[in-house]
Parts: sequence; C-alpha cells; structure tokens
Amino acid sequence: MKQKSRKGISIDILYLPAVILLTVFVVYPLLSGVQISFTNWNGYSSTYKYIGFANYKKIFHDKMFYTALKNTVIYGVGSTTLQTIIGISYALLLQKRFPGQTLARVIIYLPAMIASLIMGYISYFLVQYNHGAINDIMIALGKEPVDWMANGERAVWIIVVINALQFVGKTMIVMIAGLQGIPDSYNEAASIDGAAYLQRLRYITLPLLLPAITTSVVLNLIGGLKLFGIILATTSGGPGYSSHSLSTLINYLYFQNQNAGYSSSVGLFLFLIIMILGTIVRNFLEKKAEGIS
Amino acid sequence: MRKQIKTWAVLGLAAALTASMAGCASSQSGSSETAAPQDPGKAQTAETTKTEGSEAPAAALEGEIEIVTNGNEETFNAVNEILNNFMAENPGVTISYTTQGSDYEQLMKARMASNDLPDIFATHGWSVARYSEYLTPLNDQPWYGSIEESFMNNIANDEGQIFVLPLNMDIGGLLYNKTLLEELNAEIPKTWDQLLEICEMGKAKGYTGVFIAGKDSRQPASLLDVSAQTFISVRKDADYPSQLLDGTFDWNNWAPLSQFLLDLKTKGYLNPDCVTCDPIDVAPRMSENKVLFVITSSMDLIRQAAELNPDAKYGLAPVPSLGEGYENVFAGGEREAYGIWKDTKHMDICSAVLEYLARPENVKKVCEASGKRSALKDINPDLGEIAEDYKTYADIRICPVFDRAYLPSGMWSTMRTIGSSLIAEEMTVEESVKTMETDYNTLREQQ
Repeated sequence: MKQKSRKGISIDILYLPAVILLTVFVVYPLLSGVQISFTNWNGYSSTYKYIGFANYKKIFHDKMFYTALKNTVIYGVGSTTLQTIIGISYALLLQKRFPGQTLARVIIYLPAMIASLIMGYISYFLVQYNHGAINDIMIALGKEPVDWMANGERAVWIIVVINALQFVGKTMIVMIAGLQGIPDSYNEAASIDGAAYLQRLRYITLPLLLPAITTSVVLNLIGGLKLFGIILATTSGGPGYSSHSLSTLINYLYFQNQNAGYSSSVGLFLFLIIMILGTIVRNFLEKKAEGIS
Repeated sequence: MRKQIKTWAVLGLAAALTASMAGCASSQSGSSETAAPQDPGKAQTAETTKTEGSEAPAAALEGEIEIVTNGNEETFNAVNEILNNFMAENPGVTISYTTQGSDYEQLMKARMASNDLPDIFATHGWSVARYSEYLTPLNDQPWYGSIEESFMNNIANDEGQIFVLPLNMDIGGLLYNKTLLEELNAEIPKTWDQLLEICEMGKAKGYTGVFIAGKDSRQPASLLDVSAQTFISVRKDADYPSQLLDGTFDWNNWAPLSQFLLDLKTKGYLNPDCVTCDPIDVAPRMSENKVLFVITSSMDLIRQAAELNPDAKYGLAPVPSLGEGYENVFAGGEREAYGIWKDTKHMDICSAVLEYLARPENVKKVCEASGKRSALKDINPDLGEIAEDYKTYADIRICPVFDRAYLPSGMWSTMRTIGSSLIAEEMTVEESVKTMETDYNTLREQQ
C-alpha cells in the first residue's frame, strides 16, 4: 500500500533520520569491528596487517576468554535471577498502601539512579580488607578479617550481588506496574473460593505477571551480560583476569593489551551471545505468556 | 516502483554518509603515516618564533593549547604552577593542563587512533617506542644540550632523534625500613636470598616483608619490572637482553622471576591484603613502621611516609642481585617528559612552553615535588634524605626500565595480569610463562 502525506511526499522519507542514526552508530561500527577483527591492529597505529581468521581461532584456545565467558554468564544469569526474585518480593510488599510506602520505593530505586562505577566504588568500601565495613564488623565480633575480593570466584559473586542490588529497584517498578494491571476481582474470587495467599500467588499473580517478568528478565539479562562499570570499580577484572566479563575483557584487550583485532573478534562474539540468548529467553517467556492468555 | 527508488535513495544517502566517515578516518590515518618525520623547515620556523617569543613573549605568543599528563598529584601541582607562571608572562596564551591518572594510556591510545592528540603530552617512558610516530623531533631545541648524556639512551631512537623534554627520571630499586633492619640486626640486602632471610626474620615479629598494593595491578607488575633487572637484564652468564630484542629468548628463563613473586606470597612475606590493597594506602602503611621492603620506582613514598610519621625512616638501595659476584643495579628511565604533537597548530607556543619548563629553577621545582632526580644537567634539587642514598650509590649503574627496553609495547599489561594473578595464586608459574611468551610473540608481530 502506498502511503503519502498531505503534500504528496512519500512516508519513506520519514525513515531517513532513523536510517542515518542506525547506520552511523550501529551498522558502520559493526562493519568496522568486523574488519578490525581480521587484522593485528594495535588500536592506535596507522599500520596493520590482515591475518585472516587467526583472531577467531585464538578465541577457542584462550583461557582468559573462557574465564570471561563463564563470568559473563554468571553475571547475566545470576544478576537476573536475584533481581527477579527480590524485585517481585519488593513489588508484592510495596504495592499495598502503608505509611512510608513511597519513601520505601524511592530508597530501593535510588541506587539505580547512580552510575555503575560510583556504585562499584561505594560497594568497595564495604568489602575492602583494611577498614572495610564488613571487616570492621567482623573484627568487632572477634573474627579475623577476610580479603573478600582476593579470591576470583568470590569476587564474581560479590559483583553479582552488587549489580542485582543496584538495579533491583528497576525490576520492582516493572513488577509493580504489572501487578497493578491484574484486576482485583480475580484475587477476590479466588479468596471467596477459599484459595490461600500462596495459592493465589502461584495460580493467579505470577502467571498474570509473566509479561512484566519477560520484559524485566530480558532487560536484566542484557544488562548483566554487558556488565562493565561495577567490575572496573571493584576489581578491574582481577585478581589477574579472574573476574573479567567479556565487556571488561574487550576493554582490556583493546586499550591495555594493544590487541584491537582480537578485542574486536571477542566483541563480535559477545554481540552474538547477547542476540542469541536474548532471543531465546524472550521467545520462551512470550510463549509461556501466550499459553496462559 | 517509485517507493523502491525512494527507499534506495535513503539507503544510498546513508551509505554515502558512512563512506564519508570512512574517508575521514582514512585521511586521518594517511596523514599520520606520511607526516611522521619532522619537516626541518617547519622546525626551524618554530624555533625562530620561539626564540623571539622568549625575548618578548607577551607580544609574540597568542593561542590556546592543551597539555595532558599522567603525573602524580605532587608533580602535577608543580608543573601546573610553572604553567600558570608561563601564562602570567604570556597573557595571550591559555593552557589547559589536565592529568588523567590511570586512564591515561587508554585515553592516549584512543586519541592516537583518531589522530587527535593534545598539543603537548607526557610520554611516561614511551616517547620512542609508542609515541614517536606522533611527535616532533626536538634535537634542535636550546635545552637539548642540557640533557644528561647517560640518560640520552632512554629517550633517543636509533637515529639519535629525541622527542621529549625529560624533566626527571624514574629510579627503581629497593626501599628498606632503616629502623626495622637495625632492630633485626640485618644489613641492607645485596642479594635476593638475603632479602628473603630478612623477610623470614621480620615475619616472626609480625612485620610485612614486601608490601604490594595489588588493587592496582601496576604494583605487582612494577615489582616484576624492577626485579627483572637482576633476574634477566644484567646477568653475566647469559645475554638475555639481546635474545629478547631479536626474538630468540627462551621464556622458561622467566620462570624464576614468577616463582620469586609466588614464593613471596606463599611464604607469607607479602601483606595479607596484597591483592586488593589500594595504592593510596602504601605510604600510610609504610608509616606504621611494620613494612620491611617495597620494590618500586616510586621514591616519593619515602617522603610521604616520613610526613605521616617522622619515625618511619626508609632508605633506597639498588635492586638485589642473584648472588655473590652478580651486579646490583637501579632501574631508570624517563618519568615526567613532554613531547609536542607533530600536527599541533601552535608549534611556537609549544616550543616556548618546553623551553620555559626546561629552565633550571622549574626543573628543580618538579624534581623536588616528585622526589626524583633531574634528567637535565646542573640541577641540584633538594631531595631530602634520599639524596644521601643517591650519593652513596652514585657508582651503581642505572639500567633502562626492563619492559620499555626489551619488550614490545603492550607487554606491560601482560605483566600486570600475571603479577596480579600470581599474588592471588590464580595462575601457576608455568601459565605465567606461557602468557608472557604468547603475548610477546603476538605484540612482536605487530611491530
């Protein structure tokens, strides 16, 4: 069907700003990244060589890459799971009217308003060995202080918790919006039929909340998979490379290791992972939601 | 059909835009390739303007320039004061002077990639290997003859060209706690074995043998870099430097150095929070008088610790050797050194600024603020107690900083990774050797 405006200009022209923006900020960098991934460019020099698929082959033998990939999955899935569970709990608690309800919502949402880097630095004061808040409490209780971030695996899980706590407010807001869309009559009818709170939650609230959960899970998953600021502020990917995500690894390889070609190939890999995982999760949850409706 | 034509027109326009961006990028990189050697005529003009400017600066110079550095707070403040004086004497000149701290290298690499560099920038030891492509040769500057001859090999390329004005120099060695060594009745260690023995004695008394603030992975890397002088560089039984330069080095010879760092950790000689301690805590912890040694090139820590606690008396000694008969040396190289971007639009101002910075009173100020030796001749800064140590070890050789001299640009980050991993016990010695070897080969191929 041919669409025209009043003056006879094709509606297609209205696509132009979007096409230009998309080309400049998405298509061109993507193609440029693909090109760089076939080179041994150091990231700043005016000369480089094309080395074929060497960077892609290297991915499969690089221990640092596998550690970062594993951590990325933990950051993505771990943060999403925590955020969803705590976010739904907060939403259920704070949808009911009570004095201080708005204040409580604001306090939970506040961390989401600051930059991840700042959140990371603030959190570091809690977990640092010397004069860290947690260690000070442990010393006060007569326990030995622990160097929390000195162990790579533990550092990864601490980062997951920090990230989840920062953005749980966003999840809560989405869930509250979802809960407000559920008609009270469903719960009232179930109550009259003798359904207990947990039964109503299991068979009415959660199923009807699935569209909101879908949105939230996909957004949180993408956010977790590309986690960067908190890692940089707390561990810079260390000790060694044990808490790198693929995002921080890309930054490390490009700017510190002077390996822009390899960094680009890892970047494209991350792009594929986010695209595939995001699509799978969205399709899965949407099918569930459709089934219920 | 018409709709299709318009759709293609939209896509065509977008493609043209993309192509123009690519064109911009390639023209930038093209200019950086062709303009690398300095045009002597241009340099001469700049020099002439500068000389006139120094005689009547207020009338001659006008414009705004950007200077960036990664110098520490003390150095930054000293240079900032000098630049403010320069601006007061040259009212037509505005200088934006900033420090980028630990993000400096990333920032500079991004700016090199886009060929959009500051008019003057600090080169932190890489004026030749990394930045020379973007810098103006400065052999024709009036201060050129003032540079210490012994220091020249740190900043000159194979053709003898220099690209920076070096104000002070890094000296890497062993900081030792005078009070604690006296208490333990120990001499200043000349060998690594002696150092480990003292660490063991100190451990029994609850002292930290070697202090590392590993939250910044540059700290363990710096320990490796300084220690490599005697483990690798000045070995009398093997010519490792030549092998590193020609690519024939057997990386298994790196293993003793990684093992040394790992031993420090496993034997309990490092501070318990060595992996996560913030560098800002080094001086305060040294001032508590419970730290025996710091292997570093940050000599200013001695002054900082003494300011916090006058009883915290630290001295500087050369890097311990592998054993009797092996040489003790210091590690040394450029520290605060400034070069001029070859494409600056204000060559006259930039040259005048460097000439102003090179004045003896200004170099002295920077050296005293940073606690580092001057890279120019006939400057006698008051460096406090450390001056005595410099005098004591005046005959000790100062060898070029290991990674800058013998490793390809980019290996510093690998040393950061393996250093941090070893003290966290997240990497074995063998893995560290393999990582060094792999990155060394990759980065050599880029050259």
